[in-house]
Order: sequence, then C-alpha cells, then structure tokens
Amino acid sequence: MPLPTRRWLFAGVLGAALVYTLFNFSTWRSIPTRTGLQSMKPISGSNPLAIPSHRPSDDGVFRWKDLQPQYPVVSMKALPSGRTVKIPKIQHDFKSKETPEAKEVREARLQAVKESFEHAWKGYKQHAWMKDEVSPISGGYRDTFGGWAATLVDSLDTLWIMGLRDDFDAAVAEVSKIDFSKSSEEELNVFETTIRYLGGFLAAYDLSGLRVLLDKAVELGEMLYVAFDTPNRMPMTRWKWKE
Amino acid sequence: MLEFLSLFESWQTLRILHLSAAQRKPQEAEAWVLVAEIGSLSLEFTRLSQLSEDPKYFDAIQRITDQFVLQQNKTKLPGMWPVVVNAKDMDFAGENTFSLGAMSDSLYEYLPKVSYLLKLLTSSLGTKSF
Repeated sequence: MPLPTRRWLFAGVLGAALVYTLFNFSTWRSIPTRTGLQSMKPISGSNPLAIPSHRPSDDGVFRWKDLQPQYPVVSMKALPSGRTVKIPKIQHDFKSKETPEAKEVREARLQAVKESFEHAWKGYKQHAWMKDEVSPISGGYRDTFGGWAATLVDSLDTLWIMGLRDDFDAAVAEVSKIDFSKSSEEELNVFETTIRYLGGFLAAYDLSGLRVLLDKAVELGEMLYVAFDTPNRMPMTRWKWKE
Repeated sequence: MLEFLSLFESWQTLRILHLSAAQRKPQEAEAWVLVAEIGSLSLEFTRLSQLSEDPKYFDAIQRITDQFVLQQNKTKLPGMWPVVVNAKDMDFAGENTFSLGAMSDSLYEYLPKVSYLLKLLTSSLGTKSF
C-alpha cells in the first residue's frame, strides 16, 4: 500500500538522520585529551576561595610550596570583603604651625637619630655583613635568627625612610642570594622569623615597590606555612623545620 | 603514545610528591606556647595575603585569631589572655598569669594593627577585642 510505504520511508530517513547526527556528536566529543595532572589548569582569579592546584616544579630545585600538606586546609577563610571604614590619620602633622625655632630643634633631633642608626649600620657592615647580628662588645657576629642576615632584612625599611638609598640598594642586591632552604639552626623560632624577615621584606616592599622583596616574602611565607601543617592547623612556634 | 607519555610524567610528579611528603614527620602544635609568639604572626601573614593575593596566609592566622576571640571572655581575667597558651589542645584560657609586658605585649599590639590593615574598625575583631 502506498501510504504505509511512504511512512516507513519517512521513518527510515528520519532514523538515519538521527543516527548520523548522534554519531557525529560522539566523535566530536571523544577528541583525545592529555590525562593526568597536566590537564589540571590552575584556578586563578575568578574564585578567590578556591585552593589553587599547584603543579610541583620538576627542575630538581627544592621549593617549600612543593611539599604536600599532611593536614590540608579543607575550606579556606578569605580576606574579609565588604564595607570598609575610613580610619582617621593618627600621625602628627609636622608641617603645620611649626615655628622656625621648633623646626630647628626637630631637625637636630632627626639628625641625631639618623647618626645613631648610621653608626650601628656601619658596625653591621664592618663586622657582621650578611650575618644576623653584630656582637657589639667583641666586634664579632652571631647567627641567632636562622643566619639569613636578620639585621639587613629588618633594617631595609629604616634605610629607605632615612633616605640612605645607596645603602638600601646595596642591601637589596644581597637579598636575592638569601637561601631559605638552608640554615645551621635545627629549630626555627617561627615568631622571630616572621616579625624580622617576613615583616622586613613586606615593609620594604610596601615602601619601595621592588619586586624582589615581595618574591622573597612569598618564598619565606611558603616555608613558614609548613609550620602550620598540624592536625588543628595551629602553628608550631619552635619548629624543627628540617624534619 | 601521547597518553602513555603524559601518564608517565604524571607518575613521575607523583613520585616526587610522595618522596617529599614521606620525608617530613607528622607535626603537632605545642602544649606550651608563649601567647605573644602565636599571637604576633597576624600582621605579616595578613599583609602577605593582601600583596600576593593568595588567601592561605590569612587563613592560617585567622584560625588563631578565631580562637583568641572565642576564648577572650573565658579566661581567668576576662578580656585578656594568659601569657602561656596550649596550642595543641587549643586551650587559650587555662593558665593564670597575665601580662602587658614581654611575652604577651605584641599580641595586644597586633589587634589594632591588623584591624587597621583590614580597615575593619567595626568588625568583631575590632570592637569585641577592645
């Protein structure tokens, strides 16, 4: 009969078209992709709470950030966002209502403070360069804070603020050589390391904007972060960092 | 062939990770900690997160701050925290010696400084702690 034949023909064509379309779809989706860790793209920018997936470097250089945590953070607390408050300036305004006499006294005092610092800095350069501290009586040096030139790092912001730019530049030139994977200390004081070195790099970066200082701060931050790898994520304060 | 190579690379990377993790012993925070030491990391870590745009540093110290805030009125001198705290058990309220001097002072110093850094004078950290 003509009608059923046409119906079957129509169904056949439709069926074939459907199969053809489905076939094309499946081959389109099965384009081979590289599997494994390399296909994991780092999560960047869009989600600030996402813990970035880190592909460890394989150049043989030890990096603290390559260590897998034993007690990883499950949900990251983000820096607070939302309405911030304008905080009034608390620093004294020296320029306003200052008599010439008062200015003279102020500048003399400023100079005295600067000279005192310059004396100390000269001693550091002469007797303890790239060490942690001068031993002021013996004229020697001590490595009491890990041996990464604590006085140098801690003084960067002071050098900048006092306008001792040549000394600042000379100190910064040494900063990139500091190796946070090595120290003679068995046990690190996380607090001292944070306030002197991390604080030192960050303050100097905030003042000067020199990228090497931020890079060094991040490198140190990666190391100190490992001290927080405990079951309750509280840091070890006297940290056996090599173990 | 491509897939075999990528699988091999992944396995190599895993092997390096495995070695690094195995080299470290499990660690635990101490039961006896000077409060100034555990309470004076927040300024630097907060700033590092702000500048590097990596939240993990702020996360690390915020957990400590949360404990301070939670236990501030449970100490033997409510409002202050003792000089020695137990980080292993997260007991910041057990001890009975208090000080605004050495081993304690910078904890309090950091409260307004971090508040300023975060520009959150109206946050729970700011108002409650003061």
